[in-house]
Amino acid sequence: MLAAMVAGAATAVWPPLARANAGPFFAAARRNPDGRYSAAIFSTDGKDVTSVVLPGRGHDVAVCPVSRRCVAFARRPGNFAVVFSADRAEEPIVFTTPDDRHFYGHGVFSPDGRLLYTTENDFEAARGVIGVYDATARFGRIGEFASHGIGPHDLAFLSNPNVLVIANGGLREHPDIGRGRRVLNLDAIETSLVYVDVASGALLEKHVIPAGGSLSLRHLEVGSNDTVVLGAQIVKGVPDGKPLTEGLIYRHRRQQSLAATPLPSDASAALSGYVSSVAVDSEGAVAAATSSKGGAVVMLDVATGKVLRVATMADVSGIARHGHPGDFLLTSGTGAIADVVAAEGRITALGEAACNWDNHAVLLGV
Amino acid sequence: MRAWAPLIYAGAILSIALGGDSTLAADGKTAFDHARLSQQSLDGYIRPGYQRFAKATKALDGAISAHCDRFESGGRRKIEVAFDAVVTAWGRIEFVTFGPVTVEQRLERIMFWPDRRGIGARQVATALRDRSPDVLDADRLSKKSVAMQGLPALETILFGSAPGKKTSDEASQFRCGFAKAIAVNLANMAQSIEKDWSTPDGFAQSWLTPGHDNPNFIKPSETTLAIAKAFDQGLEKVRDQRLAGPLGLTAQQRKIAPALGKSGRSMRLIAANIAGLRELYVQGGMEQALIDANTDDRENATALAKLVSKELATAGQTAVELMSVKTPFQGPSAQRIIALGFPLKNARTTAAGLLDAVTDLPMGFNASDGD
Repeated sequence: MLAAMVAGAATAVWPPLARANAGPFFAAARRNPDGRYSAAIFSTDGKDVTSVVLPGRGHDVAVCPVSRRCVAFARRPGNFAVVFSADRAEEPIVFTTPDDRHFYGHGVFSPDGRLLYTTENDFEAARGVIGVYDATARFGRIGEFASHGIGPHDLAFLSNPNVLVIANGGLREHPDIGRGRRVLNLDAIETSLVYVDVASGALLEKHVIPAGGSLSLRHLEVGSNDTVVLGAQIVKGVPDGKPLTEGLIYRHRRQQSLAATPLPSDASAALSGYVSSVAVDSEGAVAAATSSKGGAVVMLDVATGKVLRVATMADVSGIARHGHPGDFLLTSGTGAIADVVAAEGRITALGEAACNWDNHAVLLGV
Repeated sequence: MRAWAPLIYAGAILSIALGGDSTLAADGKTAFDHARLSQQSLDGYIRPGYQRFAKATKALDGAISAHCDRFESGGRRKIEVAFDAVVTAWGRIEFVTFGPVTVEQRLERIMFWPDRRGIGARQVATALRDRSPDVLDADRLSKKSVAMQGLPALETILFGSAPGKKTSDEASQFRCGFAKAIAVNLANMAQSIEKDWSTPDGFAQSWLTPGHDNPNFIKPSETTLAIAKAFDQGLEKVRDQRLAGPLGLTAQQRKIAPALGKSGRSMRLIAANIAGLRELYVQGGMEQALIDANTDDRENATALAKLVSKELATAGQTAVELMSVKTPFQGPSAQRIIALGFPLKNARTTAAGLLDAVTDLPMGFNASDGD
């Protein structure tokens, strides 16, 4: 997603942000102290530029690379999305999936900003789809295509604006069962990474971690040379499941086979079987993965996979590229906002907001 | 986890550790004995709960066989008594959402609810009409839709037809066979779950020995987290779904059909749910663990910890009193059901606050319920 943003930014004229706060600005979903949910654009000291109330708990925010409009998505099994922008030029737009679909919490704009692609569950048929919404017409849904797997979660564009990369989590879930979050195929989880041609929906490449495992590929970012960095989660309760610390970070380039990036034991222990979010830095050269369960951040070299640093921060989850190479912004469920630089591995507190920051954070612009 | 929100936030401490080598311990938190709680919950709640469920389902199988195969006198009445016992036994252990009950979709196969579109009743009716041979065999039935092989399906078969409606002998025999297959299917699942929790190399071993080579629990606190979540989400389900759903008081303001309402057993199940949550809390060791861990202000912690069990007892008493009402969600009893929500909510928020104060659980907003 960020790679696409950077690609689009080169030619875009961005509207000024409507506040005097010093940038850079970020966007994220959160829970307010009164228990209600919202999404916000905020500065690193924790002050809001703008915020919008959400009908339920949100997850990720997609940013239009051209207009910088933001779309906050419901987390699974929610079905709403809310469009808002920093300059409040228009009323927020709320749109939903069809009744027989729900969001998985992620979406990405096409590099030209005209279309929005979202990961969705066709839950009666137990198959994943990518919903296509028209950003030029109040986000009307104009179609969908198969995600070529079950439970598509995160997605991003490669540098080629026709190729979408999708992580299919492989978990079968239904909104009527266990609040939409119980895994119904524990004995047959098949997670996959796919590349799809967005013009036709045709499958270009599919890499599968075979059924019978306990791994679920979830979040991804595209780094330099179109290297896709993936964060996985171990699904608990799988019969004869593997230990919880195996293969949590993957790096992949097209035409290559899919293999886990080996991690030293301190890094794999810090991730506690669970990667919450991944990001790549401004150069696409350093990747970082957070684990809210482990309260940790693992930073690694995108090209070699070498782990650079492991740092800890309570309930950390949101991570976004920050201004400089190797520099990341972190947000926590405690409300804390911090910065970490891979070269030093030192976490610096920047601010604290009176909220619980949700799973993801994204850089909006300077 | 919504109700935990303000409490967790209020108690949250900005704990950013520098250099990546340590995590700050939160002030006022005393070492919590996770190993003791996992052992106590196993001995005091989980194992006895599944033993009761296994015994009750076996007895139900026996009662249906006695009635259908041997035409023993008073057979129908005995089936109803046995069915009640299964409902009660299941209700008491229903909120264990970890371990053997989560594999092979057992939770849904035992109790598919809410069934918003009435799928179960439709599928049962179709199988009865078509005399589908698959539903007469427990093994084959176990591979069919989850909505037609558990308690709600059995309820439809036993209590679904209009009273006084005559059916042919052949149809009755088929109903009997279907009911028997469900009972055997339930008994098979109950036995497997009980066995997996009781054998030395079964799930209990994983439960009692967290570690890096353990596929289910790395840190000792993770079993405590599993218990805390089962308790919290159980209370949420009883209050916000089982009670509020049929009253139309859900967020969507859409009515959900009561669980086991066709047979007038909704309140039996709910009473068992509340009793089970109280057992998990008291006999399962949560109450004592919360008291023991709070050395700073033991008196206050003890009062609060005991308040949780008292509130559950109050709610449980009301639920038991409403068990004889056939349609509890209508008429004057509906008001009593609304009132029942208050002690449940108080129990939930009080327990959440205590857990946050004395445990080192990863109860954070993201860590406790990620995506």
